[in-house]
Amino acid sequence: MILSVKELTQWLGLTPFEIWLQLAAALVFTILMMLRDLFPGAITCWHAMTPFFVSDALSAYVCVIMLIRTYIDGWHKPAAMRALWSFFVLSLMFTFKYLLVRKLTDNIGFEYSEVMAPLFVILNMVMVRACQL
Amino acid sequence: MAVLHRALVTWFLSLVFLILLVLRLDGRTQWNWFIVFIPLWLLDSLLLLYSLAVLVSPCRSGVDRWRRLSGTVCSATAVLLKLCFQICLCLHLQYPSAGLRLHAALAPLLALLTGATAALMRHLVQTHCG
Repeated sequence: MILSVKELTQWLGLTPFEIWLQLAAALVFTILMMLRDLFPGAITCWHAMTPFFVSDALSAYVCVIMLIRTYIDGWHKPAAMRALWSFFVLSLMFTFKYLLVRKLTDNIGFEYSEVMAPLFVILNMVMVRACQL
Repeated sequence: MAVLHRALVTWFLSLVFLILLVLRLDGRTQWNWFIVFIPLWLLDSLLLLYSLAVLVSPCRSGVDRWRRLSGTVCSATAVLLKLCFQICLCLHLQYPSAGLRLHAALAPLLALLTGATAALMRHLVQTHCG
C-alpha cells in the first residue's frame, strides 16, 4: 500500500497490535452489519458497534500496560507523551462512535457535522504528526 | 515520494472526503454519491499508480523482484476490493430501487478486511515470534 505498517505506526502513534485490534473490530462490525441487513430487527446499532467499543477498551488496557512498563524502565517523558496522545485519540474516537450510535438510534438533535467533529480534531492532530515525520 | 508527502496526500484526501460526506449527510447538498466519493477515487488511482511505479522500478536480485511482485499483487488486490466496495456502496445509496442489498455491497469490504487482518496478524507473529 502507499504506507507500510512501520510508517503507519510512526505517523499515527499506534502499535501494530492496536491497528490489528481496530481491523478485527471492523471485520466483526461488517459481519454484524451484513446480518443486520439479512435479519432486520435482530441486531440493533448498539450491538453492531459493540466490537469497536470492545477494541477501544482493549486498546486503552494496552496503553495502560505500556505506560506502566515504560515508566518503570525510566522513560518518564516518552511514556507520558505516548499515553497522553493515545488516551486523547481513544477518547475522541469513543465520543464519535457514541454520538453516531445515539444519532442513528435516538436521533438526538446533533447534525452529522457535530457528530463528526471529533474526527476533524483527530485529523488536525494527525496532520501535525505528519509534519514531524 | 517521501513518507511525509504520502502521509499528507492521504490526510488531505481523507479530509476533503469527510467534508463532502458531512455536507451530503446533513442535506446541505444533493450531490450524487459518486461525486462525494471523488477524493477516494483519486486516492485509489494514486495507490494503483504507486503500486505500478514500485513494480517497474529496477530490482537488485531475483529474490527482491519476487518479493516486490507479490507485495504489489497484494496491494493491487486490496485496492481493487476497496474500489469494488465503494462502487457497490454508491450504487446502493444512489439507486435504492436498483435492488442492490447492503449485505451484497459489504461483501468486498469483508474480503478486504479478512485479508488485511490476516496479513497484519502474520506480520505480528513474524516480528515477535520469528
